[in-house]
Amino acid sequence: MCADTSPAGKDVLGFEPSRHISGDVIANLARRRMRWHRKYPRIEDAQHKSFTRPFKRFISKGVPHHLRPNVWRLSASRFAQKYNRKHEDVPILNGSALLQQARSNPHALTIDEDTLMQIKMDMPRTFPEHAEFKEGAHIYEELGHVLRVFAHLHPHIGYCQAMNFLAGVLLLTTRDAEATLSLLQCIVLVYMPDRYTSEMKVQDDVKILQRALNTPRYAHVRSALEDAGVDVTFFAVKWLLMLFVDALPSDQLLVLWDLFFLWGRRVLLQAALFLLHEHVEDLRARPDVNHVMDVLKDLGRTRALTPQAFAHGITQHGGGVVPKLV
Amino acid sequence: MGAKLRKLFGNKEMRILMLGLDAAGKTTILYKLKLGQSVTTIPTVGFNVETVSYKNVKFNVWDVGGQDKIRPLWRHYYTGTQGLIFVVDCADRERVDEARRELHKILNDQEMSDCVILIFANKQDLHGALTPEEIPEKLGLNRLRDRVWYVQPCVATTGAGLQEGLTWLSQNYKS
Repeated sequence: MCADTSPAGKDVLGFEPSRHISGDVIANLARRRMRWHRKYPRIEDAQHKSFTRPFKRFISKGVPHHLRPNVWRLSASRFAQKYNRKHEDVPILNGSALLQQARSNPHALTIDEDTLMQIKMDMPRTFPEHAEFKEGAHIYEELGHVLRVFAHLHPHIGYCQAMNFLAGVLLLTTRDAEATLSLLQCIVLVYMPDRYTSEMKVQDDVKILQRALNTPRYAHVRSALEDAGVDVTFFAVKWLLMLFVDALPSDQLLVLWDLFFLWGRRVLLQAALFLLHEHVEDLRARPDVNHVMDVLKDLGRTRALTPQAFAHGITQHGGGVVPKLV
Repeated sequence: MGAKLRKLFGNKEMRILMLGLDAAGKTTILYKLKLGQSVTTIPTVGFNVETVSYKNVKFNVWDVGGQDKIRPLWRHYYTGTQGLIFVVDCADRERVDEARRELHKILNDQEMSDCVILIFANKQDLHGALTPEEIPEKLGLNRLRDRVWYVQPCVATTGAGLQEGLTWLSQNYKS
């Protein structure tokens, strides 16, 4: 199980930290950890089962990093069970036996040539700067196993770019291929259906975002984007398909994922609105495509620094314009 | 100031869309042009945009992710494109048919009917790569009617051929 500590000088997922975390934030994290320990000790060994309102509130106030694997699995299992009842033909499966096979005899999996090629091509291109994603490293090899077993289980999806990054973050968080495979299936099949196939239904999500930006509340954001000639599609597709990986610093990314597993896809749209709103001054600084894209590529200058404040910010957006999606 | 005057006074701007199959080398080309060095790239989900100035021309280069599942999103970037750079991995002979189909699909779009076409025949340093002479036939360029196109061999990682490509674009674009 993962700890809250990380290699010296790296952030919680082992990436180069993009900014300094203040003492206040660290104190806040320690406080939350204590409160979780006191109130929900059974989550630590995955024995906690019930999903009460106070428990959900606890999640939205910040999940201690070492509890994330269990909290995410618990959140996702509610959706997964519902999904499996409806989709008996292609259910979310426990892939531990297949993972074992992928490790010992990869040729036993049936995956079409193209898909296999694409996975192979993208593996060295997944977090190439990260120490654990160097060829031969354990996590790197497990990434290949997870993606191949996924493709074997769900040939109609196979492999879509972005899934490599999602699996990567899941592996770095759970440190466990089995948990990663289940959560990846939950994301791709349940939370984001038809988003990773050529149907690219992510365009529907972008439309909702566009509609939201057309309301008076977001007029300031809309005009900043329009002045720079930036279409929402340009940045939103990447945000949504990557669940904000590569756009947010790790600590904020993980808070966003806590909420995503808890509430579903709408959280991504709410986060998009929140982040656009938070960065509107930066966007306005220069009405130019390159500048705006640079700002939106590297978020994390939000004022809300504690996980709690960041999560709160997200939930304050999208009311009335973002429907309940999953 | 009108576009013609701008052209006359050497203050040109050109919007370039760079497409091609995944791992053809689009992002590597973009950053080699921008920074003059070869960077480690990751698969592009969405796109990258950079401005590259060369010989008094400001190229606004849009590099859009190439995996098949993501290609339906390409059309969002068509509007206003003056030049298409289509990047081909010449060492990947197996996928050249797929590249040809994608290229013609792009060129058949109304929004792309006026743009000039630069083919970067990339990865020329690799053994067995398609030669620039093979490209027109393999990509069906000879079948194109009323289109201005050019094949430029290149090696994205060293930068060989890239500037020649930009020179061709700057001399052949219609404002």
